[in-house]
Amino acid sequence: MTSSLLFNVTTLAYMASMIVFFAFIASKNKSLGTAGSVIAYSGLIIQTVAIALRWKESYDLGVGHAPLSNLYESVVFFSWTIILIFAFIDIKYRYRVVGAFVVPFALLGMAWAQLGLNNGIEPLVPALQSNWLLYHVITCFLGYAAFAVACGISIMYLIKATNEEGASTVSAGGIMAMFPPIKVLDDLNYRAIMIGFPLLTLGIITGAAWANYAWGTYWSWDPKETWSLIVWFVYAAFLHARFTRGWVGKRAAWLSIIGFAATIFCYLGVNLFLSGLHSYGK
Amino acid sequence: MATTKRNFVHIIWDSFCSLKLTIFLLISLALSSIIGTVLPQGQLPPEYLAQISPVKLQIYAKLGFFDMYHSWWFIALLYIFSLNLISCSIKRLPHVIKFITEPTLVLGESMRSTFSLKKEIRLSAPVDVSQEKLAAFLGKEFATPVISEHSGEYHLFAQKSAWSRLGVYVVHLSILVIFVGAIIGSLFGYKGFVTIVEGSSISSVESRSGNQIPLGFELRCDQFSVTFYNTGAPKEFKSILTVLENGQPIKDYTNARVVVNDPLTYKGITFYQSSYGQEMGKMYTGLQVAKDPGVWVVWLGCTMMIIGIFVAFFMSHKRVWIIVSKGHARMYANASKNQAAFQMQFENLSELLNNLKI
Repeated sequence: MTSSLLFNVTTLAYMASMIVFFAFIASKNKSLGTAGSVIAYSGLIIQTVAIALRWKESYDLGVGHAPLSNLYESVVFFSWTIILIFAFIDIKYRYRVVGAFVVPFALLGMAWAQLGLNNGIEPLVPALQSNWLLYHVITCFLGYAAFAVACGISIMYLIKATNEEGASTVSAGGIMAMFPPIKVLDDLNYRAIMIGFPLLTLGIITGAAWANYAWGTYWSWDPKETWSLIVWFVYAAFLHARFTRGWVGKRAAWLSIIGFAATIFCYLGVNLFLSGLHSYGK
Repeated sequence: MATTKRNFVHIIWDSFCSLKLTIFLLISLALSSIIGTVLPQGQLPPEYLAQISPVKLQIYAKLGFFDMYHSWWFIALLYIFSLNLISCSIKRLPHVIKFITEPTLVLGESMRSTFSLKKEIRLSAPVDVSQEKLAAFLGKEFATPVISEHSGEYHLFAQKSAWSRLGVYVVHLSILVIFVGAIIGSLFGYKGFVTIVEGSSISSVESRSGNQIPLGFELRCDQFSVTFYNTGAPKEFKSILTVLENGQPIKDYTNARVVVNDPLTYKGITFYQSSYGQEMGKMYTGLQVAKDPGVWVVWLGCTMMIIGIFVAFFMSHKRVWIIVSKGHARMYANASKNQAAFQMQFENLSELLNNLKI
């Protein structure tokens, strides 16, 4: 399959992008930062082609469906959305160093998918034969990806904030000088979550609509549903925390990291450790 | 005595209005919800005893952990959450509405210094001529201004999407609407299950609580079939169903095809393909049955939530003032959100103003 070759190229591109971003941090050479982004974008384009190709290949096999139906396909799609959201923030705000903290998430996903997961194209079981699959999965994963980006930015925030507290005299020109100011990081974190929260909300609602259409209940407190609601609660708390004194800054960054941990548990943990309706990941 | 009482009421009211309570509730809901995902819900005691000790079973049962999302304390949390939502909105909404309907038309000296977006131009025309031209300019490039005269100066005020400040309250209301929909569903609807052997019909279904609920019509299973892919995975579960009233098949509901993800609805009752089996050489189909008159209220709430979030996150209330005095005019502006994006718009407006040459 050509698509699987292209997915390998994508994985290598994200790895190269990450290494170049690390070199950028170490050397502070601006052209390396640009190169890191360009490599990540190339990876994104190759991956887009690969996903489209896999879609077509499923039709060639006579089981045609969007490549969003099993764990392998969802992990690949998750990586794609992470880089997509990163590209959006990178082009809009131009803080190249963010790439060093976000691209690794996408690389991790692709490496896991390519090395550890079954990449066979399988026909859709009856439960997944619905157009809702497309709307539900796309909105959820775009949301997850925005939270991944927010988590990367929050980690940067904590590193920078801790560093500034420790050093009474700001060492000009250190690696920390490459990081955006903490105020900017705090703002970027907020903006990434402002992208993710509406998408997660849409993801939960499309899921509820689908569940109602397929089973007659829009909410059944299944572990996956409940965890998505937990994630929603955490980010809702984050959004309200911004208007409350004493909750901005470090605590908000921690909430964002906890939110992403809950997101990952919702995505993978529920399938691996708990039983329920979303058993595609087994 | 009276004052202590009032203070007490005040303290309660203030704590219900506080954002700290909101954050506490959201985090409590998130944490407590975990219990029901780790502990299987709604099983029978023997099934639990295979995994936990009898003492734990008793404690968990007392705490309602086996049907956690319907336990008194979880429902209480949701009620407190609703109260918090309502009181926060009641406290803040009047201010916001006043802010929208009674905007600051005249910008006082002290307020002017608080703006980061400002611009000054020289004017050679007399004040009332400039005022008219600037009003026309603002109307064309931004929004039609309200003009007030104040101690020899003209104050032009224009605003855009003032109502976007209401977005967050639409989101709050949407949560309550969804709750109302859920309550309607639980009071006037039911969930049930029924099996129908091929060739036979039923006229009632068993609800989750074990009651027999009459449908008011009959449902016949004409045929049930399963098909498989080459890999052995199931491809389609299909029931052919017919609705009968007084023994007569209903047109459009005769030989209706019901598969997973494509249910059949008749008179507000929906039948979902759910399971199948064999009994004495004959196939039977298992159908999930649901009647939920509250579901449209829930979808209304969801739609409101999406619209509300969109407005609250991505739209901002933009305001521009131009103060016209003898010889010069000063423009001030701000936005309720996304100041950076509005700054570009303001710079654009400033440049147009500069080229105006009054």
